[in-house]
Amino acid sequence: MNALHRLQRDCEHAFRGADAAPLLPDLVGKAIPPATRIEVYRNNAREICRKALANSCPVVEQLVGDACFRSLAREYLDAHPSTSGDLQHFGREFPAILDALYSGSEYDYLGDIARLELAIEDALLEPEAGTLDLDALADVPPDRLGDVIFTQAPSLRLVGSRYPLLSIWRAHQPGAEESVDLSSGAEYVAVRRVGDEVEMRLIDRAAFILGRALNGGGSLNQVWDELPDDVREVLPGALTALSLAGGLSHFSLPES
Amino acid sequence: MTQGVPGGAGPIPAIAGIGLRGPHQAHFLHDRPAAGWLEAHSENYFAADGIAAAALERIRADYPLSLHGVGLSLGSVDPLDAGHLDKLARLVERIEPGLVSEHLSWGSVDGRHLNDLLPLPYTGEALAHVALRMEQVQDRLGRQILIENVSSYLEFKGSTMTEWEFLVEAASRSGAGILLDVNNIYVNSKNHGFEPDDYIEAIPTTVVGEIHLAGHTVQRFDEHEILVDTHNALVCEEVWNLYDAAIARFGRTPTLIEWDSELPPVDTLLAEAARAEQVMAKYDERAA
Repeated sequence: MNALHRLQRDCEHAFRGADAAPLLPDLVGKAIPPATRIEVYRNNAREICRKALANSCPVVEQLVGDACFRSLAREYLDAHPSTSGDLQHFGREFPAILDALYSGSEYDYLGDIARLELAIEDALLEPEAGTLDLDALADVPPDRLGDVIFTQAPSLRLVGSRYPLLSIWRAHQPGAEESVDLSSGAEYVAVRRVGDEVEMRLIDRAAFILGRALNGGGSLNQVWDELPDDVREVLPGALTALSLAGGLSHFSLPES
Repeated sequence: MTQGVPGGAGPIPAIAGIGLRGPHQAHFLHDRPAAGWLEAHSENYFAADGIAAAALERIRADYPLSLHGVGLSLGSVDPLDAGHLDKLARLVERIEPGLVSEHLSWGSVDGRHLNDLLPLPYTGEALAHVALRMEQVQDRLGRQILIENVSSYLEFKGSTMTEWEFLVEAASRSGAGILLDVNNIYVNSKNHGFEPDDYIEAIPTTVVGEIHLAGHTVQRFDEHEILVDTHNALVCEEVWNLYDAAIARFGRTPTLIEWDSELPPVDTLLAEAARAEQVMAKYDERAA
């Protein structure tokens, strides 16, 4: 390891809040002690992390409050150091951290809110796609319908929760006044880009499960085994609901 | 188009511009306020199919645009991130910015990123390393970049040259130009105890392609004060005075008002840009 590598490693440890002792002999003291100077970089590291998470998950920040969110961001930074110079996807593990911390508590739904907020952010990074009209399937021979492979819109993100996820999110948008009954049941949301905006539509559980299953690129026959019985029973309706939510952009039929 | 807004083609004009930030993007798209030119953070537009890159392309049609990177980590000992550089190259090819700039700093080691602009030791080893990487970036992009001096809150005992010597030599060896951040010079002069005018006087008059101006914050740590480059306030009078000295030395130079946190209305940024214009105009008259 050369001198520059050693110095950068010592800085990284110190700025992340680990032992600063190896770095201190390398720093000029002058009027302000080196430990104080290191503290500026520690603060910056935490603030950069907090801002990145807050930009991605503003509703989570509202729900827990500023002090708690700062603490969460600090915990996240320790557990998931950034691995890129681009912070675009920095928060992708944030829902799992929230699940681990709040599962079973009154904030049980926080992880799902974070998933929805990250889905919104993700959708805006993807291209827009057309919507499949299921009438186009009329030309497919009935005995080949199971072989059809549906392509989902690249921006489609499906987020589900046993809580009223979208209602909670909407209640925390500027100007919203409605309150949410947390016991009002599960909500499943299809998120996708439409123009320069994100569209969010509630879908039913069957459409949600079918959409998740089709996400791997398999045909209806190929995903059949992973579908619960109650979804199999309503498959045409689930497919229609998924299509109406803009979740399907086109289909292909492999040669038999 | 609103009167006073230059078209998007060509280089960055030697006038004052402002930073383009997300909350202001719709205003620039729809109302086209009369800014001289705009500067965008490259990484915010890396998703080629996303809405941000498409919006930037539309804005580019109306305004001269500079791309300013914050994440390439030029001074890191980690290998240069080829994926990051590829995304930057694709964005540069698409947007055709008037200027491309990055920072004379590092931000990652052993694959862990702090996403901060961290200072290098001013040593021969660090100089050779960062200058080589600046060359590699320019080779990949097929164009010159500008390299910006950063704010710092500590100094390394191992440094064998001044910050300005390091900056000038890095630019000279790599063939890069200099993006001189006058606020960062002022912040560092207070944090490390040097005369900021000495810094300005040490920079050759021919290498400065852009100047940055921004606000900073005085943070207290027990009985100590450290100036932190927070980009959340008006440019202070001391920095305006230093900018005056810079323009006196370098002449009219593309000048950017940077503001990233606690973002004010665009009009506040435009008023700061107008003040920079006044400074440049003063030296136009003297040169005439």
